[in-house]
Amino acid sequence: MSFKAALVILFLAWPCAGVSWAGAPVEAIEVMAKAPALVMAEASVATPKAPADLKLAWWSLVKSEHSPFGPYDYFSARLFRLTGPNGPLGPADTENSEKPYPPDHEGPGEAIARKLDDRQNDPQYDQKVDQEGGQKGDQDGLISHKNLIASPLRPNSLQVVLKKSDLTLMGHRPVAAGEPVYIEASPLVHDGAWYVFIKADSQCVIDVLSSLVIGGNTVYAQTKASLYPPKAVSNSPPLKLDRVNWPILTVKSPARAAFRMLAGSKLILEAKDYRQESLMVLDYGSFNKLSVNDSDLIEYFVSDDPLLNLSGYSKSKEIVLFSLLRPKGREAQNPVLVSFSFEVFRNQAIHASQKGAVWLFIVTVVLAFLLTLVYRRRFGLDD
Amino acid sequence: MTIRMLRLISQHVFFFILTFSGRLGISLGPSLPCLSCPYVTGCGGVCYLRMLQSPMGGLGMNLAVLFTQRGLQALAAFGLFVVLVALFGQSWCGWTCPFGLLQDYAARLRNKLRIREAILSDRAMFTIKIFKCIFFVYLLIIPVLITLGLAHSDLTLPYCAICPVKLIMPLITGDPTYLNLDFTNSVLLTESVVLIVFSGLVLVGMFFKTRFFCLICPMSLLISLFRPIFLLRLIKEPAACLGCGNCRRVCPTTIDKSAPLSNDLKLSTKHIDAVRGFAKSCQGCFNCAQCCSTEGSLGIKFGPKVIFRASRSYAAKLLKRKSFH
Repeated sequence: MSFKAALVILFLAWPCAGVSWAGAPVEAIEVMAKAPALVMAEASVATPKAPADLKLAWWSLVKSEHSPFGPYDYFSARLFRLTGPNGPLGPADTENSEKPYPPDHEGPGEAIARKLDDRQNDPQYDQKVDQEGGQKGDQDGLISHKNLIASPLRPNSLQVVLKKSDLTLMGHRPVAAGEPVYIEASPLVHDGAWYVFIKADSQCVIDVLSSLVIGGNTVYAQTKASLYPPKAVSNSPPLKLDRVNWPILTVKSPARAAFRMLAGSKLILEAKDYRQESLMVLDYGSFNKLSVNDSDLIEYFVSDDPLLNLSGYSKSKEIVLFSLLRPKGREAQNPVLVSFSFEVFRNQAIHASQKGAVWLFIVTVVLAFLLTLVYRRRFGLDD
Repeated sequence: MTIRMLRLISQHVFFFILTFSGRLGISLGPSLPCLSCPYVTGCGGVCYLRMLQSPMGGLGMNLAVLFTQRGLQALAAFGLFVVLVALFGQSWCGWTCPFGLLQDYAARLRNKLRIREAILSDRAMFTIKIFKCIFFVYLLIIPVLITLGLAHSDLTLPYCAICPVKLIMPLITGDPTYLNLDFTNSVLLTESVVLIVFSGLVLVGMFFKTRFFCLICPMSLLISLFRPIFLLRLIKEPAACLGCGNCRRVCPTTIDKSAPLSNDLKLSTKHIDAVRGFAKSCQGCFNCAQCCSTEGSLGIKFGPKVIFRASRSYAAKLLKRKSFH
């Protein structure tokens, strides 16, 4: 092979080979530092076929601390149900849920599973949890559900009250402090899942008080969330980030979980069935049936598709819905506990250089401008 | 109100809608036949080229999911694109494209600075058309290759990765996010280098040549593939043409519709295109029809109805102005 042929092959192969190397400049965080923190609040509810005493399955907030590329975390979630014969479900395990879990630590799934086991064994458990929840809520400065008064909301709507201003609900105008925002269920929302995207440009703490009205029953969920603008981080690990746990999901069949990631991010979804009951996880898009046993890992590549973008705002983001369906004939059984955890792999713009890009851009423009000005006739630009 | 004024209003209204109205909760969907860049935060619609390359709703989609909800959504998006193109044809480029408006302003700046517009030689035009075809084939083939496992997965959305609109439009709105060199691997590094260099060249090109990027825009080529079903079209009466060349002079892409044509349409492809007004680079701006000083030589037709015919008085009124672009 001649030297020229080798050069040509190298020239063609280089852009397609995906060769990566160590020691590349790490400036991406600075690039992304201007991106606002994204918070997703989700409410997932059972379908109308579910028993009337379980209208709101769970409510949580998910934040991206650094950027849409960065690690995902979620805030403490509290779930109150004012209606129904069984009283409140009790708060989520907030102390454990705010940090990533070490492998041998009891995660939220185990915690809630244990609580539900206790609940089955102790007839007074609901009442105890009710009292604990109220007291703990008062200690945290959060409003106990007992102090909440059901407001005459419209059916099938979600009311969100933000306690701090300077926030924007994506797809809506900026929301003033304390101003209730009503979000109607849109056709794109599946089976009663509502999504609220909150964007914050500076560090702030918000209280999100939401009221969910389904079929005339009002369900309150309150959470306190700290939003931080992206931080500048240097020498961050090149690929794998910390493991981030997905909030505990207590589902009544059928229900849905949703998560939001940046397009192109790589996602590993881990679904655990703490009751050892068979579950199927359905990929929303392709409906490929994936059997999930304990600790099975499902690798799913989040692609770049505006079709599934519910907000219509952040077009480069992706929302993927996974459906959890129980096998036929077992739909009406007790709630199944499922814990989702996923690992976020940093994808683009980690090893990036903005300074180099700016210089390259300027040099290109200036050179092209001067050359065109001087040699326009030679370039065939003046016929 | 003249057609030119209507076009200016339309361009500015669509620029605002397609660039900023997402912040107001407006979304015109993913099927737009113009360069409404989804990488602009808060854009109000998405260019269909993105969907076309997408593995979730375009050529990269697995056939197995064609008859699932996702596949049907993709087909619906394509159907909507075809309907929109059939309704307004190439006018999407001239009347709505936000990047087209930017290019028009670059041309105005050049005129203000009294720098003469570059006139491309036939050879240069031919070279540019080759690039246009290369871009188009590139965006069609790579997603398929990725699906077949023959191309690196980081080449997803191959054209978007190097499209100058992805860099320039966010910059216009104050977002430098995409101005970076991505050193993750050789694929992304190459794409980011090509994006930056290409954007720089296009910036310079659109300054020296009106609507320079339209000459290489694959969306323009994609729209032109649907020429037979355009409802809004340019018509020409070859017998009435005097060959004055006004149409070429005011055409942003320098299409010559004043070729000495006879009534025989069995001419070269270029001339047949000119007769039908469907040359591949046509922007649908209708400058040519407005400035044609020969009565009835050029006209605008929507479906079966002729909505405008060239007239000497109309052309004289417009040509009094300094710059038509």
